[in-house]
Amino acid sequence: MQSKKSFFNKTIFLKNLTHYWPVWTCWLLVCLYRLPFRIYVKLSADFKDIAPAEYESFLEQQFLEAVYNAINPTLLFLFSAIAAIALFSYLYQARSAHMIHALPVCRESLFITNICSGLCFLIIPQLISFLASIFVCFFLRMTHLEGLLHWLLLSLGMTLAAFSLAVFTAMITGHTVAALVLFGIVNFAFVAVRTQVLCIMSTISYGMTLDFDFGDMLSPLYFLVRKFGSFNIFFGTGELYDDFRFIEMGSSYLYVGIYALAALLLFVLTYLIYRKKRLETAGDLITVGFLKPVIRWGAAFALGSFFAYMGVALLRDYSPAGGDLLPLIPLLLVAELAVFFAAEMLLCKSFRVFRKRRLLEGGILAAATLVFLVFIHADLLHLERRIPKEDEIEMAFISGDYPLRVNPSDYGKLVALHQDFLDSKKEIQRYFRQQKSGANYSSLEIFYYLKNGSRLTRRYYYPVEDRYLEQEDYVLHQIMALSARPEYYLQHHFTDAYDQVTFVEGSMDVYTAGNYLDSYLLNQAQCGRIYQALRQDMEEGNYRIYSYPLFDYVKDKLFANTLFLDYTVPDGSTYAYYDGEQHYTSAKSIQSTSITLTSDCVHTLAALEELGVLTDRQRMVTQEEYELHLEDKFLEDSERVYHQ
Amino acid sequence: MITVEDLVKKFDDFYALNHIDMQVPKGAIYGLVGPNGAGKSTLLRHITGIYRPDAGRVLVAGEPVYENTAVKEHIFYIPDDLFYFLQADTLEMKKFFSGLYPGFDEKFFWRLQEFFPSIDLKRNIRRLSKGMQKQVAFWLALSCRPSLLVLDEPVDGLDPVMRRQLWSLILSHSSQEPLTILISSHNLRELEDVCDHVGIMHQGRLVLERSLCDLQNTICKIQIAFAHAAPPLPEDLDILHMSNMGRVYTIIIRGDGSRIRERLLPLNPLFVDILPLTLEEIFIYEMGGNDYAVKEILL
Repeated sequence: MQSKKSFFNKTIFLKNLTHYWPVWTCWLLVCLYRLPFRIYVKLSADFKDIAPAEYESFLEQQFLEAVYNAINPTLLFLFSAIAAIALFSYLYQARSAHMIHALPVCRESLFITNICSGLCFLIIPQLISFLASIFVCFFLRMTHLEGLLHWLLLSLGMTLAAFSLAVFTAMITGHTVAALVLFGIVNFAFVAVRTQVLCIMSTISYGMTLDFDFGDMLSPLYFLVRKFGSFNIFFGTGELYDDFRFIEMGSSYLYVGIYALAALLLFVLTYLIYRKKRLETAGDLITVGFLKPVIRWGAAFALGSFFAYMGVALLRDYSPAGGDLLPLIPLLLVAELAVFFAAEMLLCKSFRVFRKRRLLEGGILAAATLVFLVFIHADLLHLERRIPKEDEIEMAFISGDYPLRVNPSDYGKLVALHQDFLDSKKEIQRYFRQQKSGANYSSLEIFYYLKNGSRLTRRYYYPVEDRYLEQEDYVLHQIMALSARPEYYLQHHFTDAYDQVTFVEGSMDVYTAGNYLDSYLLNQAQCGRIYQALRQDMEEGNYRIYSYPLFDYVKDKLFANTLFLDYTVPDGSTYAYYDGEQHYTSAKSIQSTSITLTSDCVHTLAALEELGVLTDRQRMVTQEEYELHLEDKFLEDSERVYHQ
Repeated sequence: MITVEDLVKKFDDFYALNHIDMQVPKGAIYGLVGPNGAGKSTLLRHITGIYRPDAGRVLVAGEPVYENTAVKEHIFYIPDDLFYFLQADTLEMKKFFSGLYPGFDEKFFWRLQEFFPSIDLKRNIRRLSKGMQKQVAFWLALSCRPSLLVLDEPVDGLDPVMRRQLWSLILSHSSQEPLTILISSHNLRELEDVCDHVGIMHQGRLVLERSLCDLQNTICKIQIAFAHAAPPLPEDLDILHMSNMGRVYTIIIRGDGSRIRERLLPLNPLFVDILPLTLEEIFIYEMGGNDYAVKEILL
């Protein structure tokens, strides 16, 4: 007999289509709701408040918001998993696996037919939604349809990625629930393991942070949700503006294209696994032999380190300055081995797993863990001691009392400060070990963007106590020297375009008679006047920003009142934020800043008096006064207002 | 029709099939017998191309069966534990099988309906009784017009009337069609009336494989009576078992019955009769060293 092979089996395809209709029907309904229906709702609403001149652009933004929000991949991944599990569910029961594989259909045909079925389940509803959306747009006279095309192309790429991953996880398991759980794990595994490694490193090492985003793409759903999660448009103060994280189409297509290519490779890999798959593994948690150690070790490390990390935090006061190696070792070893054998029990579906071979493997795991811990503690990779040279730095931010972008002329000071923190390691760690929960401390986070394209982040905690503050070269004084500068303050409050600020409005908290907190509204001109005065205070060194741990030292002159200023700046103005990234503004969006004054800000206080904001009946209150007389009253008032 | 050569299958460290060799002639009805766990179902899953051998090979009509669509188009497998799609009725399954088996005979399917009057074609098969589900499986199997029908414990769970009906249906079909049937069972009595070839499995090995004819010529059962006490029997006779009731002796001897009779006549017996042996008895005496296995398949 001549063996003949067909890549596609019509009978199996039709069986899939008719038996799993709930899957594609539900997905079709979801797609129709997410795109054409929402476009219709967005565009057909009655926008009476919109000025005729702005109407068209407003409609377009409404349309784009509906379209781009439909890119959110969460539901796509969910339905991909359901489709893949349904299509390959015959592998999860011995009797169905035997029946299907006794039929005159080879595995290649089965695989390709199932893949085609799944892609049809997922793609056809999206195409129908796309066509329905075009119809809705024409009906509502929306002609800028590029967004729809972007949606379609990006969604198709993500569909390939999601479905290939779902098929892969469906193939390596032999159980429906396991397939679904594993799909969820795979989508977040890399980030979870990376976080655990960083947690361990931050527990042991000094200055290490969890800020490390290398390899996010290896956790597809995590990455795509962050990229295409949600988009918002705001409408306020009579003018349209957006806080749209506009999709950068170039990078979006690049990322989705990479995923689509990887999906094709994953399909091939999955097919090879299927070809070798032993059907007697139906019902097993993991059906591919070489993956079982990966599961055991991966689970042991990820979960074990999580439990150990939690254990260190619960059993003793966590030291923010690291150096917690000794309590971590027994906890990590015990947790890892417990998870290791629990995973083996799940894999074997038996409690009798303590065999010689596994015990030996557990021993190797324990030894590897010890080596890993010692490796980090000894800083063999030179991570803890790493300080970039000045000429390596492309851009740098610090986030201490407030976030700021460091001027290149200050890189030398920054590097010196960084070195001082490293030199103070033993002293600072000793302080935290002695003080435990009674410590009063602050922190500084340093973000370097290096010329080689990498990012280096360190966070250092330092005590805020008299004995240290008395030292002239103490790190806090160096931070102050670096950050207490007029241009940094101005950039912090008014972006780097602080000379081109257009004020919208503002307000000032004032205490009225009877110590009631009231808000004094400021018009555009008043805001401008206050800005000038504030700037003068900054330039004369009267204005300072203090972090909370320092409040005790300045509470006699630091006011509890807050000044709020709303303004706009030209498109593309930048400002630093606590995440250590440079953010850009849109000319349409209104920026807002809050300013806490001290009694040293004589020019600003004078301007406020001059404008009639501060009077005998409307006054400023210092932190000290607030804590002594007003805090309880304020809380009572707040509670009363809440209950009313 | 089926050739199995040095077939090995391991599940972890356990040998499910341990170097099996087997031959099933074309047109034979081959009974595969063995206790639970002997490896019968595993062997059938190799013959139907479900499992990939760890070593050795399985040929059907001279072709390897694993992943060979052309060969599998002529094989139909009815497992012990049947599987039907969720919500599927008989008509839907018919449509499914007719799309996969090129030999599916639509007319024959409707002709066979008279044998299965109690089956409601439009009722969800999973809601039918186990016996009815088996009937549907046979109905679909015969409609596919296979040249090899592989049946794993085929009548297990059926009532005696339905068993008889199904066997007669299969036998009448095999007499009309060039059909080879491979049946596994742990019950020897079940196979005795239908098989012409038998293989017996024990602990992953095929310990015996013969045609029924050969088997019956290999061992004979002789009843012999003497006027007085039995004289010494010729020493070269391979006596497997001997018992007596008074002066009548029943002897199981390996060898050809008529020749043995010739050897015994010089002892002046009152009478010598050659009696037919049941398959059960043949296995008991043939499988002397595998007591457990024999007990299991006779229970």
